[in-house]
Amino acid sequence: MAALEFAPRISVNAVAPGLILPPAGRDLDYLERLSRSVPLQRFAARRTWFKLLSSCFRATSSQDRSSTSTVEHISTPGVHVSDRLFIRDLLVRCHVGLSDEELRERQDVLISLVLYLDLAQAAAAIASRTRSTTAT
Amino acid sequence: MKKRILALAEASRVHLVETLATRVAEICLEQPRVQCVEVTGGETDGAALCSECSVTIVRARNSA
Repeated sequence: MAALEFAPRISVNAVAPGLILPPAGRDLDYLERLSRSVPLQRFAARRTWFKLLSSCFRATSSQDRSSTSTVEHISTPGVHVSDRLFIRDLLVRCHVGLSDEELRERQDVLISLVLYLDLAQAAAAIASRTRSTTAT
Repeated sequence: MKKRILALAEASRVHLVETLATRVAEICLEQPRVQCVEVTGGETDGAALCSECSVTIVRARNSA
C-alpha cells in the first residue's frame, strides 16, 4: 500500500519476514509452536534476517542515500538544541535476539550518539572560572 | 556516560537493537543538560553485505 501511495517520488521496498519475534506478551514457546506449521519447521534467527535484508537493500541504498540529521528540525521554545556532542561507534557486547545462537552468544553492536544540549552555560562557567583565576 | 552505556549493554538481553537504543536514550536524557538525543545502533553482522545496517531513534526531553 505504501508503494502505491508514494510512487514514484518514494520507492518502497517491503519484505514479509515471517516468524522472527513473538508478539507482545508471548514467549519463545509460542514461536516454536507456530514454527511447526510452516514448511521450514523453524523460525528465522534475526541474524539471518539481517543478512537477507542487507542484500535486498544494498542496491537501492547506494543510489539514494541522504543522511541528514533529523533532530535539527526539533526545537523547543527557549531551548537551544543546536550544540551537539558526539560519541561515535561505541562498541558494546550485547545479547540481541531469540534464537539459540543469539541467546548463547553476545553480539557486537555499534552505538553512536548525538547529544543535543546547550553548551553556552558550560562554556560561560569555564570562561568565568578562567577569568577569576587570571585576576588573582 | 560511555561506561554506563557499556554496563547497560553487557547486562541487557533484548529482542531488538531498537530496544537497546531506547534504553541508551533514556540514560542520555537523565543528564539535565541534554535536551535531545539521537541514538544509532547497528549489529556489525548486519552490515556484512552493505556499508551500514542500523537503526536510529530520536528522543527529545519533551517527548521522553
